[in-house]
Amino acid sequence: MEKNDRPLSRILALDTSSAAQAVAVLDEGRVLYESNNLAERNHSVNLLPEIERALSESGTNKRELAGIAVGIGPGSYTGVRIAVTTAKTLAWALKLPVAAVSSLEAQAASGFEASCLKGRTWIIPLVDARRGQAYTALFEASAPQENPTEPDQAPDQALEMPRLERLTEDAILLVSEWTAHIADRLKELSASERPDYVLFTGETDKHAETVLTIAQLAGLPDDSIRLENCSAAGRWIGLIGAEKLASGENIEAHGLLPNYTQVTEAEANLLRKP
Amino acid sequence: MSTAAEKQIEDTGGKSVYILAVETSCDETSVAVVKDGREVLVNLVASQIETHKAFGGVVPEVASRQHVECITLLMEQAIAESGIAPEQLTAIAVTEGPGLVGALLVGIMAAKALAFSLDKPLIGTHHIAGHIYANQLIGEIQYPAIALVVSGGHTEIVRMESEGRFEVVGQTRDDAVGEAYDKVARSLGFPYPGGPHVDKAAQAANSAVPLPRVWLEEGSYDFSLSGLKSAVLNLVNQSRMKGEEIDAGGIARGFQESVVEVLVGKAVRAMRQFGAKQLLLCGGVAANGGLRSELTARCEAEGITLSIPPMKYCTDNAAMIGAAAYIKWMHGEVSDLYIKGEPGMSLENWSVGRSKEQ
Ligand SMILES: [Zn+2]
Repeated sequence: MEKNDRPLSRILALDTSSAAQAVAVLDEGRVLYESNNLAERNHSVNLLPEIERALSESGTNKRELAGIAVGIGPGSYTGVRIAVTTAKTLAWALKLPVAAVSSLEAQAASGFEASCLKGRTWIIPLVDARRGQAYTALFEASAPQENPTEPDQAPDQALEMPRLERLTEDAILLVSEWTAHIADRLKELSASERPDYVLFTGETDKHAETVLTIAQLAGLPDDSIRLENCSAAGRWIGLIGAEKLASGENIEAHGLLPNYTQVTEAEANLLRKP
Repeated sequence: MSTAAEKQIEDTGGKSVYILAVETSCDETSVAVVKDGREVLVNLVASQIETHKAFGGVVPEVASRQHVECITLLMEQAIAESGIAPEQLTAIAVTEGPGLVGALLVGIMAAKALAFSLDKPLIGTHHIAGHIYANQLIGEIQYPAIALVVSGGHTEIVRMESEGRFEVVGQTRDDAVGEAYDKVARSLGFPYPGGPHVDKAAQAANSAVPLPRVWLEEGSYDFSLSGLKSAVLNLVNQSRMKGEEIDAGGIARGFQESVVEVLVGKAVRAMRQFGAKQLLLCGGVAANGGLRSELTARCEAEGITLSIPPMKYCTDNAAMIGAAAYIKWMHGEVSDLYIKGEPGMSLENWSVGRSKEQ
């Protein structure tokens, strides 16, 4: 057990499920290195060199890593495979546990953090999937409480997790139908049960017109609907992944796979045949 | 031996070179460990053929998904079966192109991550160079050599003046041989993959339906198969419209004889013109019985030394990638971690010494 005298908490985080390439190194919830580059579909070129940089700039020997957190999508099929293949190979070759993180959950957390909203919030992450569709899910969050126990922590203090509660599984959905569905769910709630905000995160530009109709559909004030254009940040992949690793929710390297949320078109056509 | 090669051997202390190679350019996931570019310690191939049969052809997205599922398992098993510890590996090689870009990327990311994890050099390798160097797995290639590359995606005549130097002197202007076989097979009602069915039917047929030979302009080493393919499709349609039974055997034989005559004729002419010492047949269509026997007979009659790798090294496999990568390694040429899938990668530009010339 030679690993016992090494830091057991250092984690490499990766996500290439969207246009952004996210790489981070975290230790005990502290972000030692983070880059979220809009690499314009060059993830396959830049990911390994960026991992090399992340480790060297955070003073991390790859053999001292305690685990890997990877965004498994859903998102671009090719993009997701780039990070997942890299993560599973690193995990296997370096004998590390790996945590499969929903790229949508990390994106929802990233968008919620950027929004600075205080209060109960429904978060709907969006990754465009063409033809009016998006990869999406529904989360509920409340802003982190001010933490009075360690008031004297340095600026490098550990990030406080917003408590994200998952209300639906990751899926590919027609954004118009999805918006209407969420509006129905909201209407079923009594006024006191309703969230203070409904926050759409991610690739909101393409779907803004559709999702903004939710105010009218659900009878909510316009200013309770917010949009936050963002990607899944490396630190949130890392933080969510670290929690999973800590609770033993790790995956064996060989078994790590992307979450495509749907079968290929060819397979779907085959299934449709009588 | 070049000075670069000598230097490389010095660097490795004269020890054996062990290359772990990865190939995912199409529908086979393959990992091999090759010693000194010649000796295959292990060559694992996870074929997806059964999956793609249901679709009547390779579906790129399905292929990519299956590569991700088994790539690390294959690497682990290959290392275990090679008897070589990961630290003992000299380098990691991977097919960089040509091929399906999504499929290539899985192998490339896995190879990069493995090279990075083990602190080993990475060698991005050309898929066709791999097919050609499959011949090095059965004996020393004699230069200058001519390679006849025939596969589902490629039909090329490659001239090799010396080790690792490639000059494409002829190639198909439309369909690859394997592609034409698949289309003809479909029109004759054979299931995918159709090549072996056409080959079998052709060899069993008593007579051949006459079909044209496409030689193109005088002296050209290029190929064109779309006209021949259309001629077959016309024959099939005419029979159908007349309500006649299709003479599948006769058509298969006529098609095969036309293809083989042109391939063999051009390869033999290239041997003579370039004064080559050896003819290398390679690629998946090298399995074709009609082509093998006709080429063997012609080479015997003409006194040409012919090399045909065993079937397992003709279809896509990683051992051949390890054999080709070894040439690059011996010339001191390795890749960096920035390589990506190159669906249209140039064989000539992959030649040894080319990066210094440019
Ligand atoms: Zn091939």
